[in-house]
Amino acid sequence: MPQQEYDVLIVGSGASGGTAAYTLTKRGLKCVMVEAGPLVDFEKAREFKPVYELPYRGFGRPGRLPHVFQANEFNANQWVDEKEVPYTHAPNQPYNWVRVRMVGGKSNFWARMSFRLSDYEFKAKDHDGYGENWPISHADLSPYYDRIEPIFRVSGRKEGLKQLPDGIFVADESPDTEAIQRVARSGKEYGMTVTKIRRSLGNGMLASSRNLLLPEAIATGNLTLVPNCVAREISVDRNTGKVNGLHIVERHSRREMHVRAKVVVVAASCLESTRLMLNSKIANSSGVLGRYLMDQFYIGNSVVALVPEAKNGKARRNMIGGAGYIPRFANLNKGQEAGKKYIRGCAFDFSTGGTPDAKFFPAWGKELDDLLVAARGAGVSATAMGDVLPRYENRVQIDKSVADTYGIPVLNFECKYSENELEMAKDSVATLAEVWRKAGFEVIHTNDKPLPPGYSIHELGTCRMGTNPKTSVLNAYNQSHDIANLFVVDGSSFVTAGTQNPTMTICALAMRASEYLAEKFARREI
Amino acid sequence: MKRRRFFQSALAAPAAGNLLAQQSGPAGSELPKLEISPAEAVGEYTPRFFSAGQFASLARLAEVLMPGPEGGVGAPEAKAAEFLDFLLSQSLPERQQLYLKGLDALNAEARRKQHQSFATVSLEQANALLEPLRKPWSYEPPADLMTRFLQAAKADVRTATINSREFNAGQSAGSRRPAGIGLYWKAIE
Ligand SMILES: Cc1cc2nc3c(=O)[nH]c(=O)nc-3n(C[C@H](O)[C@H](O)[C@H](O)COP(=O)(O)OP(=O)(O)OC[C@H]3O[C@@H](n4cnc5c(N)ncnc54)[C@H](O)[C@@H]3O)c2cc1C
Repeated sequence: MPQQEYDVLIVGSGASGGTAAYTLTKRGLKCVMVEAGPLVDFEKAREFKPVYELPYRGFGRPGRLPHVFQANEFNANQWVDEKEVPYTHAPNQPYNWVRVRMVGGKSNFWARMSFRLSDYEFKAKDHDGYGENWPISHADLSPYYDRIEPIFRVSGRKEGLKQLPDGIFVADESPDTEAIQRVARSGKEYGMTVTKIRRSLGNGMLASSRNLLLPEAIATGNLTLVPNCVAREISVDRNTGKVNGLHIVERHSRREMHVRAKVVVVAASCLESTRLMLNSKIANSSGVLGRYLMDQFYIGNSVVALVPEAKNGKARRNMIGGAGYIPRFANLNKGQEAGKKYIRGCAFDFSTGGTPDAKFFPAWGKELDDLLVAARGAGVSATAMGDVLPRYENRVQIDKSVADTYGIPVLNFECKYSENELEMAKDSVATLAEVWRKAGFEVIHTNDKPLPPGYSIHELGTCRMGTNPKTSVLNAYNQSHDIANLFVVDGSSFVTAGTQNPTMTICALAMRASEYLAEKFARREI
Repeated sequence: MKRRRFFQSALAAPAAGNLLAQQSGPAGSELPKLEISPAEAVGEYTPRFFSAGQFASLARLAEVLMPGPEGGVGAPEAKAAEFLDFLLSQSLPERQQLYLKGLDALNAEARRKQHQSFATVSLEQANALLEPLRKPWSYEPPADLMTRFLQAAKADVRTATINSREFNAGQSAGSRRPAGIGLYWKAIE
């Protein structure tokens, strides 16, 4: 049987690949989606178990997933096995690369925080002179955010903030508790605003590519979904210089195959996409493929406090509870405001009404138990999420000395945070602690040391877009400058990171790129 | 056998010859349920990682860090020290060293100040020796071994206790909902 040639081959079925499939199939393009992981039946794959029945009482098998701080003994099997698909870094420069390989990708597990980027990110260079602007602005992407948000059913409260544009929200009208209002009041003089965490509701249980995007794409009759196939190399027609398909390895049997397509859309997640292109030795006339690796630095429990009035079980109704989000508040009026030793800024999300972990109380035995009982339900804790600068030195490249279990060369990471991030962390955490003290909270712990790069699971950059083919890999439509029928539609295309969780932006970019692709395809311009 | 029937049965059977002797059995749901018991319910754990002296000190440390409330479940009832012996036997070398050196340092300190092993100190004496735990916890591990070890032990003993069968039985007794339940991901084929 002659092998079918598809209009578009999409690598990866996560939020980015799912959005591309959703958009392209509705435009009538015949798509094939190649996904490295299996189609997991959630009913069969999971079961409720008491923690004491696990062999390691919840600690997990020591050393199994050394880079995945999010892993525990319950969820260890959901992450990519680091021995199956390893990566390398210098011992003193760890990078936490957290991966999921299954249909739907990480969108099966994400925390669903759903924000837009603003022109503080898209036009960051205009604001503070550092790095590059994106070739697009919020106005260009806004119509696509407007369509993605209703698919994911993003809940939120409109605030009219320039640094966190409002979206098409399922209105979150829940009142803020007093604890949250206290943070908002005392944060005002520091330029802080407190809003609701904007979150994808999906169908209530799940907001993923798996249930919101792929079913609609398949329903068009235009999508062939092929799980358990690992992309090895994108193939190029040496006569035309265009890509013409993909070499794949079937996961179980390790059979090697080739799939033909007129256009290739890479959506294997930020760093897997870049790895695939580096291994394919394509689209890198600029030399910046793999460069400008960014994310958001994270500091969990950056400030931990107690609300004194709520201690000893005295919390009245509405005194405490719920969560808040503090968008970037530094350097909004000027690139680098007086007294700031850094550019750009940091955001926080915080939760109220929990009980701080025992480690934050310098006690043990009965004394510790008494302190924990008194603190029950009176805790407030914040996670810092800081903007990491796009720096040429932060990079991934192919490590030819190591291959994964499929024989595909792995990535080597060179990435560390700079003074800008470290100063930002120090100042932002100190500021929030001050705000909470002014709000009357009892601050019991602060930490301004970021977790290792990658921890946020928001890896971005390495295949950035731009107007100049000499300094960027993709154009403003996520299309390769070098190869017209190659698109990369995930977080690798970001030019700046921002403080906002990236998935809504990834989806909006994937939708915009796919519509552009479909138009060009229809006009035979690709 | 008719040619067509032969092909049908040949297709249904696995090709490997040695599998042919295996009975296929009923579906799981049709099997009678059998009562079973976990190993801990019938056997005593034999410590293997720590020396007898180190283990005795760890057991005392666990008891001081997380004593059981009156009639309730604490580290001794939850066999936290026994569990940690098992966990440490499989841990990375750095963690193993922290515990081995930490316990030796704690014992040395007990001998210096109380003229006995930590295993036999009174509660008052133990509390005096655990003073490094008064230092606030920091994300970056403290430079001095004793504080680093005690902070790690405090967290581990707590988790080993709270996540034990014994502790959860105690928690569940007073409520209708079973404690300590989580959604477990099975291995993905
Ligand atoms: C626990 C957790 C919490 C998170 N919380 C948030 C949040 O609150 N808000 C937010 O915005 N973001 C969050 N994220 C990040 C978010 O999940 C990602 O930004 C987003 O899902 C990325 O989508 P993607 O399609 O680019 O990548 P992925 O979801 O990783 O999908 C890529 C797919 O490509 C496949 N693939 C990879 N390599 C190959 C190959 N060689 N061949 C074939 N297929 C391949 C993978 O198997 C995968 O299915 C979170 C992530 C996690 C894990």
